[in-house]
Amino acid sequence: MSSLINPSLSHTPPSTRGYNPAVGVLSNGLLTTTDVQHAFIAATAPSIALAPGKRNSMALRKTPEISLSALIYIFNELIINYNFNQSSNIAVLEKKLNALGYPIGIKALELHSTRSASPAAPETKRFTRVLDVLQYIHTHIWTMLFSKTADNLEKSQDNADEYMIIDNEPPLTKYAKPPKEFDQLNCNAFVAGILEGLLDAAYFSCSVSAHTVPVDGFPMRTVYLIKFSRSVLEREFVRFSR
Amino acid sequence: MSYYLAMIGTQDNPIYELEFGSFRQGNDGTSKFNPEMKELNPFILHAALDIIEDVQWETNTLYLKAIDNFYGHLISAYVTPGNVKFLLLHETKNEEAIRHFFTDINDLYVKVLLSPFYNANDPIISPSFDVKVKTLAKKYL
Repeated sequence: MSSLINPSLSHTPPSTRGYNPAVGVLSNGLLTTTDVQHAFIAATAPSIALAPGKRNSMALRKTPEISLSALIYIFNELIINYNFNQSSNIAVLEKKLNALGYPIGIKALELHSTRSASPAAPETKRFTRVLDVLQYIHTHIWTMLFSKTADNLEKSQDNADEYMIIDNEPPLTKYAKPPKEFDQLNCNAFVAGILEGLLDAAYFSCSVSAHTVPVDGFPMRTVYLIKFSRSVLEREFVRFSR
Repeated sequence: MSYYLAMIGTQDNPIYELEFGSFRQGNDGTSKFNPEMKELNPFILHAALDIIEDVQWETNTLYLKAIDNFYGHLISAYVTPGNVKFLLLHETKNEEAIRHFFTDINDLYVKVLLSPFYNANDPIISPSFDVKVKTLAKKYL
């Protein structure tokens, strides 16, 4: 009866619930009857299943693919052109593209490892060694992002802290043709940002840059140069050298 | 039986906390920590972070089991591939239930993370996340 008399605006909105970092554990301590109602709503609301085979799986298609032309259109117009107009030179633009990719990398790592868990083997793995995580990027992350593996994974001969992942035909810039005065620009700085975010999240702090190194037949061949910070190599040496 | 759960971001910043009690044996889910213990809980869990940073490089599993104890309280830890740590302070050993609890929280966390409006290391203030974690607590602990 009271709910009929009270206009709906006078109810305390349920959005005041949840964890409040300023208050701490007192903000979400008890399970109340409203919580139980919310739990019922939450349990019955449709949600996306992350891994195939878990609950009602919308992600049953193992490789959810989107059209390359649509992706390239969005990438060129929204990302490159928009940031291009706001950047004074190539270095600034590449930095901006890198920053756009960074948070995607963090999310891609967590999502991929959750997805790759199966009911038979619910535990996924973390990465403790440099080579393991690079192999994982080379095969699994590349397959997730571009539906193919990267073409090569190399270690620099001159510097111990540098590794290279090589893609002969990077899909994102397949149809991108920067104007002549910007032929130094490599829009795969965006992908480099994804790699950097991913490696940083896995505690392999590094900086990643994309360079165009054309060879015969592959004019857009891109080398992602991964330069690990000293702490990563020291950890590797101390933990695994024996 | 009382539990204290904390999710710690990559900068050692708490992104979610929850204090709750057991739902088994007719308990209603309220925690029975005394006031002193309530204040100590965050300190105990943060002290365990050092141990995690050592242990996490010795194994490549996500669930690190009970890694520390404090006067009869055990601390279980779970590290996601993106190095967000889930810590649980509990009183009795219960490895399998806690493993399932952590794995399901990991799923919930990834769902939060996939939101374009959520940045890594932000506090998780979503009420529906809160309720779902409590539902999991009721289911497993």
